[in-house]
Amino acid sequence: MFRLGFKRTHVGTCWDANARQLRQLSRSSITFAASAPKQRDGKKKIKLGIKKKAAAPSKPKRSGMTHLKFKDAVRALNFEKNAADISGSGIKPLSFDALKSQDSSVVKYDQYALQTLRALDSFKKYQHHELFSEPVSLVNSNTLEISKFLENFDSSSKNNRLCLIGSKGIGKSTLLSQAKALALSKFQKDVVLLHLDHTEKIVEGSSDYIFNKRLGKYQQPMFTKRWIMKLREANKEVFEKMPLTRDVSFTSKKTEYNLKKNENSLYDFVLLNHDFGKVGPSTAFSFFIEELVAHSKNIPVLVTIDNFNVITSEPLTAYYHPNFTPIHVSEFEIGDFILNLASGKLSFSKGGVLLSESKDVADRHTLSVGLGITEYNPYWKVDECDVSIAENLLDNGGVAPLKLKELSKAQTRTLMSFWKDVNVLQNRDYPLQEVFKSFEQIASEEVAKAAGANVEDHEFDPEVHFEKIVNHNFVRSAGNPGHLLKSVALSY
Amino acid sequence: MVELTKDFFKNQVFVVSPASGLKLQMSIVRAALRGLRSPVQSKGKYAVSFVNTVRLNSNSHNSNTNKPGLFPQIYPVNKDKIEESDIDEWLKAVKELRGGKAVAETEYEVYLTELANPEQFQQNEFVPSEEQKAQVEKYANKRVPVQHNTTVETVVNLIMRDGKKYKAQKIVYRALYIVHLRTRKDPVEILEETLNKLGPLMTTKVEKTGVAKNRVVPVPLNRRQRNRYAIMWILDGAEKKKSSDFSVRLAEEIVSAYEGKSSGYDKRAQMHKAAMAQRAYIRL
Repeated sequence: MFRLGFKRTHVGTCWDANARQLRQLSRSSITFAASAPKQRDGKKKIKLGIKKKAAAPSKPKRSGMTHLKFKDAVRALNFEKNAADISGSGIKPLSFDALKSQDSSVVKYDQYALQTLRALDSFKKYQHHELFSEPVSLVNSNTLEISKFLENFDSSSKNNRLCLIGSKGIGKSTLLSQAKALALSKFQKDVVLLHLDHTEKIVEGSSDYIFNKRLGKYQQPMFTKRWIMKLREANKEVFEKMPLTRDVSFTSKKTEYNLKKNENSLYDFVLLNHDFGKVGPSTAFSFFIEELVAHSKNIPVLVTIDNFNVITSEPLTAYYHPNFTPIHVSEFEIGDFILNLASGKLSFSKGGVLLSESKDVADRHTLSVGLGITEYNPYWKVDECDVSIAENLLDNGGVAPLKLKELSKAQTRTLMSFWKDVNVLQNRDYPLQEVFKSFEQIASEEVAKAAGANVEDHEFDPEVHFEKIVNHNFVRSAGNPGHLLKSVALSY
Repeated sequence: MVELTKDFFKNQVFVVSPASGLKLQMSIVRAALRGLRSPVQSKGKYAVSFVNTVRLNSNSHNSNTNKPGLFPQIYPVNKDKIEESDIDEWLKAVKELRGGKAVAETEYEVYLTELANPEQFQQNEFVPSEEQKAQVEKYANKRVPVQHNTTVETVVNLIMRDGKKYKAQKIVYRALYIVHLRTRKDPVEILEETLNKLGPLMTTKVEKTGVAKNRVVPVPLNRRQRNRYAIMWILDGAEKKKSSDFSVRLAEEIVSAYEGKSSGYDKRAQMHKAAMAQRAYIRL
């Protein structure tokens, strides 16, 4: 047995190697071996430079107006520019003073309110605003309920807490927008609007997060910065009217700022201070809230939190502690701020808190227990109901639930009539089963017609047909405006 | 529970369909007998559950009150009450006839053999009321509307895979929604107009002549065939658009076809060209 000096890892390989070695030792293997190719005279040319790769097959160019998916595409492509102009159709802007006269009518938002609501991202995706040249809404009994809520703004916000509940498409987010527009109308723009449109952003893990030892809370700089930017844009005029109640100094972009009490405004603070988004502990947000609380004696604050039940349904966030346990939403600065507002622990001297649930979130019992709708069941599992949050909501008199009502038939008719006027609703005749006829059949029918045979006597009366469409869609949607719009615009 | 008396039977009319024949008649008799075999004593009379045994004709209760019912005909009318002995006699007659007795002798046997001729009990009349007549006149010469537009439905059906109609519907409705947003016109009308513009008028078919050379014959297409070609070309064109959402791609292709930019127009021209080349074989 030869010792070949390589690891005997595999039996087959080892024996193959031995055979090769043996062949090399034999004389005949050399004799019969093919001669090496002759080298040409001179030096071998060496190709310099980068080796050219074979050209990759080019991707076919794809045409089209967008790469986006449906929901994003209809929003991003500015289709509202093609819509019929509603300015000449006599639609009035939503007004707090004239609200009773505007009951059951379609309204738009005035220019300032529209600008503010757009800055706050109040008009959400898939609300079909692209159908109209500007956002519109219908005033109904729910709006009148909200006007009562706004009338209580002289008292502190802990006594004025409301949660909107109702089925999907009933108009909860639209009512929040109406509430903000009504608040601006009532207080003549002297109201602070703190609106959070997408509460999922707090818990879903899309932001960075750091622990602030001084506050004992986690902070989300990226999220906080973006939210503050929205609030700054929306509340510019009112923030400029709010002088600082104490001096503050901070460094931003290597420049030191010393903002003086009564000299500088809150707008200067939120404009110049970049600590909201600093990746490090910061007290900028708490300073901002303290200033709002201090000014709330004169300037009311309306807090509107859309999709509030995200917090109550998923209190354990997608973020983790260093020991790899999930962080509770109350351990975040913003999460704690929202829960304190909802519980009344943090209160503005004048103002109110308006919460709204989302039906796209998995249903848990926390919100219904917190609103006093359902009684707590001790046999529920931990993730089915967060008792601490539910008890928080019940504190200080509790949050009052407001179940939104569906549209009446008259309101449905008003809304559909408006859609018809702006060319959103197509008042077309009922489709009939198409009969594909041969040429002979058509010819014979024409002959019969000429001879005075029975001809189908059907006349299309647009008014009668519109009433039929109203009845049909009212029954189909059960007065739910979201479903109504879908059955009109997304069904053929 | 119904009290089984002679008066009760007089007022009942039992309907038998003409196709069922003797078999059904016998089943009625058997059902009635079952009821009689399990009597419940109620005020000295027999009571029997009659609900599931027969079906009553709802439109004949007014006009047929004077006519004798089926039961009075098949059961001896000269009896006021049904006794136990009557049932025994009846069963005995049934047994005899089943045994192959050809000639009916007793009263009961005669009745039972008459059941083999169900024509006398058959009631096949329908008399419409005045209201019904008026309704028929009102809707005469009118077609019944369908739920969805047929052109849209054809597109849906051509997109549908594995029977997932709702999914296909969602794609088409969303596409038409975008078409509406782009053009601000009725999207169904736009679709129909596009299909009308894009659909080819003629196609060619190869006809076997039986000799060496086959014949290519131009054939006109009907509306349904034209629509199908146009829809398939639109779906082909939609595949080349860049959005990952089928509804967006389809909407883009419908709009470009409406504007006359679709690649389907080349295919249409090619088909027309082929048909024109073979116009010598056209049959009029």
